[in-house]
Amino acid sequence: MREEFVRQGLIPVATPSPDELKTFVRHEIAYWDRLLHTIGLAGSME
Amino acid sequence: MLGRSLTVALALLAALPCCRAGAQDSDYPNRIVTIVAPSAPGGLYSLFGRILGTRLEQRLGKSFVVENRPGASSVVGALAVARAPPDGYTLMIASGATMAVNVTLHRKLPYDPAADFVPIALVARVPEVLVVNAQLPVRSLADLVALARTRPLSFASAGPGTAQHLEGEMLKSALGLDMLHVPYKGALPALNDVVGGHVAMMFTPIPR
Repeated sequence: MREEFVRQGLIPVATPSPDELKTFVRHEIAYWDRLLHTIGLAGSME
Repeated sequence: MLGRSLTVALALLAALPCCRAGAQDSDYPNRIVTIVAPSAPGGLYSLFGRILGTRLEQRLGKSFVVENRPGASSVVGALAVARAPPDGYTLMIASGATMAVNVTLHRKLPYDPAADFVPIALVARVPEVLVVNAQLPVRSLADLVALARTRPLSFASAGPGTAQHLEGEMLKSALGLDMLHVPYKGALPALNDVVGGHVAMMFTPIPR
């Protein structure tokens, strides 16, 4: 599958554990919350 | 998941709690597994779902079928997965838009990414590039910025809230440019209009 990803232009990654992924998701939510408020798009969609 | 270096990360998720039944059974999967791609057919989610589904079929001997559920910046597809029986037979390909951006972008998001899904694996990053219509006198980012300071430019996206939209807004905000967002229903029609000169530019994933 790695080779197919590369052939399609994707960058394969070694996945973190599911628990680490949960933390990752929480961090991403916080990161994008700050950024979307900064660029004025927070709450811009129904 | 929507990376700081213009990459989009793709993850495989299941409805919570996926392990209450089904996926924990020793004979899992014993029927067709659906992989929901929360976008229109032909896009990146579909491509990724097909690659992943094919490999899972080879390894597990059961069908993994990609089902496109487009709409509302992936909200339609994500909501369908959140409401699916939590048995491991409905999976979803998601990016940062579905799992993080939508939380703040939408005034009232009908699903909770952190509570409604179990992340299974982070599997790939998608490099994105900024492209402009070939007729524009632009051969570098500096050229583009200089042109944008002389007249308003438009940028296309696959829809409101998508990576392409946010990347355009980030460029606009970081450099103080006057740029108009033109949303499309999918990346392909957006790219077609950039090629046709109806829109000046867009960020787009490299895989096609």
